[in-house]
Amino acid sequence: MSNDLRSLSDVDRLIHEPSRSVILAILAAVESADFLYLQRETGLTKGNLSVHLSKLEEAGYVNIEKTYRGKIPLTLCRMTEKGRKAFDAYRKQLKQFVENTKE
Amino acid sequence: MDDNLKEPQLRALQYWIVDGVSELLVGFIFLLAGVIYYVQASIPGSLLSKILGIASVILVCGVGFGGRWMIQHIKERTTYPRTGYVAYKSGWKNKWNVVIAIVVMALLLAYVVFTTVTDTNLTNWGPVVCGLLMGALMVQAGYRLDQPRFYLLAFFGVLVGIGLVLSGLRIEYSLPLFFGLNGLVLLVSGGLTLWKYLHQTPAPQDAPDEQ
Repeated sequence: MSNDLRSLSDVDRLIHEPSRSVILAILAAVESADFLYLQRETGLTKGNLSVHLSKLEEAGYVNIEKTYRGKIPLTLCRMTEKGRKAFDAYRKQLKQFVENTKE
Repeated sequence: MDDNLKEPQLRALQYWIVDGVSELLVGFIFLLAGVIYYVQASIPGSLLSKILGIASVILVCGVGFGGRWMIQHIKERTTYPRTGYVAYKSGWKNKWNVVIAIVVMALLLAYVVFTTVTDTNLTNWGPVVCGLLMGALMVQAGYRLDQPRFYLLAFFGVLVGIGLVLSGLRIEYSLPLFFGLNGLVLLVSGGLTLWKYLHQTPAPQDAPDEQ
């Protein structure tokens, strides 16, 4: 396997899934976002988004806080420091791969 | 590949201005500032004029520190139930934002306090200075958030500033007119944006949150 391909195979598989990378990209840009916003942005169903968020939470990349805004339940998602480092590393790896494979 | 991730990030940042609420608030404050300056100019040297001068300082400080809270409060009723809640990182964490804010606030406060206390007409170039300042901030926001309507607002602000100075109006009247006209334009722009947003995004019928 060439070094370029090996660098791509080393990327964090948990983040490399398209929906999860979009979720993390959004959370990296803001302080926190709620379930509804993430659902609209990713276009996922509630069930699918829940599964993806649970995986990210299990990995320690995202912190999920269930709270209320008035009487309306609110699920707030926030990127953790570990998630931020992992996402930064992932982006660097992708960038590196693109640079290396430019013609 | 990495570019695909920038789009949702940009949209997340644009979300703050997607509903026009921030423009509405800024427009309202501009209009209020215009009225305050006009009343001040109409009765110069009076006690009310001095009180309004202090009120304008409080207005500037209030917008600086409480503007974000006010916008959030309005969005709680209009935007978040429809398209979700997003909290932003504090702008104060960026050192350049802090430096720019301090310099702008200091200049404005110095100008307002000096002209109020000494009853001096500092210069008739006030509208142009305000227009350039507003234009620079709008261009910066338009560029960062990729929003062409902000360029138009910037252009209008500079145009009004230059036009008022060229008209030969005294600053006591040109400055209120500057804020009044720009306030109206911001209100119209924000109102249209809010109308379009509400029209395009009806409130979800089911429970908003089911994780």
